[in-house]
Amino acid sequence: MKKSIKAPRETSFVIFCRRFKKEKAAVACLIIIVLMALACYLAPLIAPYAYDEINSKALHQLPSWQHIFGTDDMGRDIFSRILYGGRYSLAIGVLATGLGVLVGAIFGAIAGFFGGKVDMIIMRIFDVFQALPSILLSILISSVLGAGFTNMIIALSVGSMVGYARLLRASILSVRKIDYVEAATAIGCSSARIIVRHVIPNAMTPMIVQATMGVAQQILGAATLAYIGLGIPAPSPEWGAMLSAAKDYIRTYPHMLVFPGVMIAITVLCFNMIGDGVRDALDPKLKD
Amino acid sequence: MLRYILKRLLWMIPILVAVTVLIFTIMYFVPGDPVRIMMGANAEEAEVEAKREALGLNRPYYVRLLDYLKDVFFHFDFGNSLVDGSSVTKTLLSRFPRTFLIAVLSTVFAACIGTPLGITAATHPNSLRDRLAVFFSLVGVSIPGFWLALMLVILFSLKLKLLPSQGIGSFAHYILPCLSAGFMTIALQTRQTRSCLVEALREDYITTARAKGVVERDIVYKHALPNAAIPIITHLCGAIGGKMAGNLVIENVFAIPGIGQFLIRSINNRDYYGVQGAVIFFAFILCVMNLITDVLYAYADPRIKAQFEDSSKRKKKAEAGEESAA
Repeated sequence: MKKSIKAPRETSFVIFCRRFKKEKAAVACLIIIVLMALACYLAPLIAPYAYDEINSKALHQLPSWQHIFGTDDMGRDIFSRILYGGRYSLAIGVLATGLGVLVGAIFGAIAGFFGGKVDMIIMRIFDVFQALPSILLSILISSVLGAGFTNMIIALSVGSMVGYARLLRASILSVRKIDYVEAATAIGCSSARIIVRHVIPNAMTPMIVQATMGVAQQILGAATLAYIGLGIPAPSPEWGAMLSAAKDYIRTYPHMLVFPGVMIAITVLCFNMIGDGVRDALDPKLKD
Repeated sequence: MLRYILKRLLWMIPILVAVTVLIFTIMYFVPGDPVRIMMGANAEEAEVEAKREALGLNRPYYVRLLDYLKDVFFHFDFGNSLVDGSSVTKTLLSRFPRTFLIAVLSTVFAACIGTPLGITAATHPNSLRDRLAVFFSLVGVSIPGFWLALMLVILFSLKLKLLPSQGIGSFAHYILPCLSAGFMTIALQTRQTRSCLVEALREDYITTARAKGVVERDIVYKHALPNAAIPIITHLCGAIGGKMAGNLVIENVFAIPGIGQFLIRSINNRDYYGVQGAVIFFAFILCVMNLITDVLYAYADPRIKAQFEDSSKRKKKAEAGEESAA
């Protein structure tokens, strides 16, 4: 019994991989992201300097062979800080999306599957959340929680949660009416089993696409929060926080602003392109 | 239709009340003492306490909440700023035009560039032009708006000395903010136009038009585009509402005295009334813009209009109609 259930699953994943491989740009972006994540993970080995190594003899240096991205207002090497900062930025993007998807999926699945009063109550509460732009909600929550890694993740995930919940609810509503769900109900499957085994796997496609692009959104959101001073506290390098610190030197040393921003843009672009590729690979019908 | 608009307007009230309660509660938990910030670190504890008492900040949570709700919804009074004692309502109203202007100008700018790009992409699917347009739109949504703003300032204000980098005054002051605020919208507009037009070009009436020998230009501009235009235009209206709050960091970069700048300043000063007022105001604007978008949509598309009228006639199914509209 078990084997017959497992076999088609693997093939669908294999099919996905084969289709994804054809999306050349997306594969290239995936490789870039993996390399970037690896470089950030191995920052202590790669970085030429420590991220908090202050050098009062080399303040505000332009890019040179010693400091390929230049140095900042305390003489710290910007390249090393970007490597260390990437750990925070990538982790925040991925974890905040994960948390948002998880919480959103739980509420969306409950609302979509049970319908009726439960659905109405959850959706009305979400209406209230959606009356605020998500970045505003994140800013407010992060001003309550204060700066910090975990708090940033929570603040960002609250902002995006509602979108995932609505998305899953909508696709569950469309899947629910399909015959195999009725068949599962008829043979006496429990609600939980139907949701987890039958409805969610079939309603997942839009969620996966949305989540990949969601990482991109969260990295941008994190940069925004950090820029207005709600990010990770000072000595730790995070890309948005580096921009925030550099903005005071825009007239005198603009090079400090360039590199962290370029890194954010490249990372976000790659996640967006991977998202596009995943969408085309998962559902060729959506490709126009 | 009128019934539908009325219903939506009435539905806005509980939403806004709930938003007010939510924001008030969030701000209640914000750490940091506004009175302490206001009076400086050297003020005597007794003085601070007296001031707190005078401002009514020592009363219990629910009393303050009810008071605040009463002020906001019966007197349209958002209270006085804790920082300088000025009326938050007046500040918001005087700052609103600039925030609105930037949102509208940047959206118009985005529409002027994004729509033609989208049309080119859709009429030449899978060509180099299409790929470039899609790639450009992906780049557009990937650049942080405030960073683009800073880069534009470096280039046009500091290096080329063509445009002012801060403040308001002349038309030139609005160019950079609108450019940086509109850039992401260009990308979204390109995508929206492309996907709507591609869909419209697949319809049967296009095949009919081709079969009877209509020139390709007329097929695109006279047959497909008007049908694709509805979601494109309504998408733009919706964008204006979202942009007003979305531009708050850009307002800060350019020191534009709009609501966004006021909001961030209020957050940093722990000015409860300022933050609450600005957020509720944004929520209100967003609700109104969404309503306008939906009504426009309904007016432009007779099918949707018919749906609303149908559902209001069948009273029993009125609930279901609203559900699907939401």
